Amino acid sequence: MKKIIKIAELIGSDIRSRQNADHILNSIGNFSGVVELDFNGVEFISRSFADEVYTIAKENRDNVVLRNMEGIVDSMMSVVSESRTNKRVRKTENANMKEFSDMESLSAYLSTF
Amino acid sequence: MSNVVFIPNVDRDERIGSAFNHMFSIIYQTEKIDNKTVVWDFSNAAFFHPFFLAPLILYKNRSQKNIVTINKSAYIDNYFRLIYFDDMLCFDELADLENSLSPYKGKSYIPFCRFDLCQSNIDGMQTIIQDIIEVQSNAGREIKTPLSYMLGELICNISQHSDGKYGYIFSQCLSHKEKCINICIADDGISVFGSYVKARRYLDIIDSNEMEALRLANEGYSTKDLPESENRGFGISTTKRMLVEGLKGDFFMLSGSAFHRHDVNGSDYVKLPDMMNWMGTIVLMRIPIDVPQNFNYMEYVIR
Repeated sequence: MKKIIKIAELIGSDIRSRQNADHILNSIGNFSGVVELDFNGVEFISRSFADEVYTIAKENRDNVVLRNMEGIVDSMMSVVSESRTNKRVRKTENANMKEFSDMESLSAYLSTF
Repeated sequence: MSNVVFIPNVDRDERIGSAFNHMFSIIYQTEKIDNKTVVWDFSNAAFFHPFFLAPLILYKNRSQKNIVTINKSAYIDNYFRLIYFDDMLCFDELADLENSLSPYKGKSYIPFCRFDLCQSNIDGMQTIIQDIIEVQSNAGREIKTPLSYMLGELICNISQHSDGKYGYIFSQCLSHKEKCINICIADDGISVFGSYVKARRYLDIIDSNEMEALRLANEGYSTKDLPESENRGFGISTTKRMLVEGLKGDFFMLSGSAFHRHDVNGSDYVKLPDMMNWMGTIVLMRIPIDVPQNFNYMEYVIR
């Protein structure tokens, strides 16, 4: 038994918030057969949403497969997959820390840009 | 002591630091007045930089003071009505938002919108607002994806971390001289510092320093990372990288008593004077309309 969930129809072609993953989970319900998440027609997914999809397909369910991810949708999924399997290498920002105790000194700083 | 604060003219061409300077000054003067009612006198004002106006609207809306506005020219009065200066554009249904925003396609700005952070279709709201901004800016297709990313991650962040009730969004396109989209996204939540304190994360680094909390948030230290997988905290850091390094824009964040500025000239974290404390968090972005030719969206997504 196979169930195909067309993501563009279910959520839309531009998908941003994490909460959208709830629509997918609700559609899957208790179905125990193979579930295909079909991304045909999806043009954009945020990293947050991609992260949720990764959790559904790769961690929480062993019956979910991803189909028709293309372009930046596929690229974003790859980035998330990479960051979930490799340790993050943090780049410390080269930033200045400034403290101002009065409005005059704050004002002088703000006048520099 | 007079309870009148004169609102300066803060032209759209004015330097960004100057717009912030005026904004902090107005808040400081208003807070200093020992009277529940404060009068904002607009007799000197003709134009407003969006990075001055957006925080001002938020401040007025959330201040404990009763702020009365006087001496607005007919032009400003009409402009304030169109941007919902006094009451903000609130909506229950997306269809209401779409109808309200439709007349703004021919303008350079959208009204100051307030949205419920618990609403189920924040994506739908963003789609409607982003469509209007894209039409107004007359930007090419290349801006669509980074705009979707930046707005999406920032709005998602405030809905997940701020603990606030409402989010706010305002934008103004300066399509002739400056050629940029100025966007303000804000919340009425517990601030970045408050979010770390509530989650009890990184407190050994932050101590009681709000500036340090802002730095951690901007470097991608999330309160929601999984124990064995740092899968969160990419939203702000990637947004800044995409905006500043990729698009050559400017990024500003004000939260509690800390302020952050990141542009092509560098990155500063600022501890504000004690009397200055912003309720919640506000992010301001200057997004150039012309995307650099060699800009590659995925190159700026932090791995």
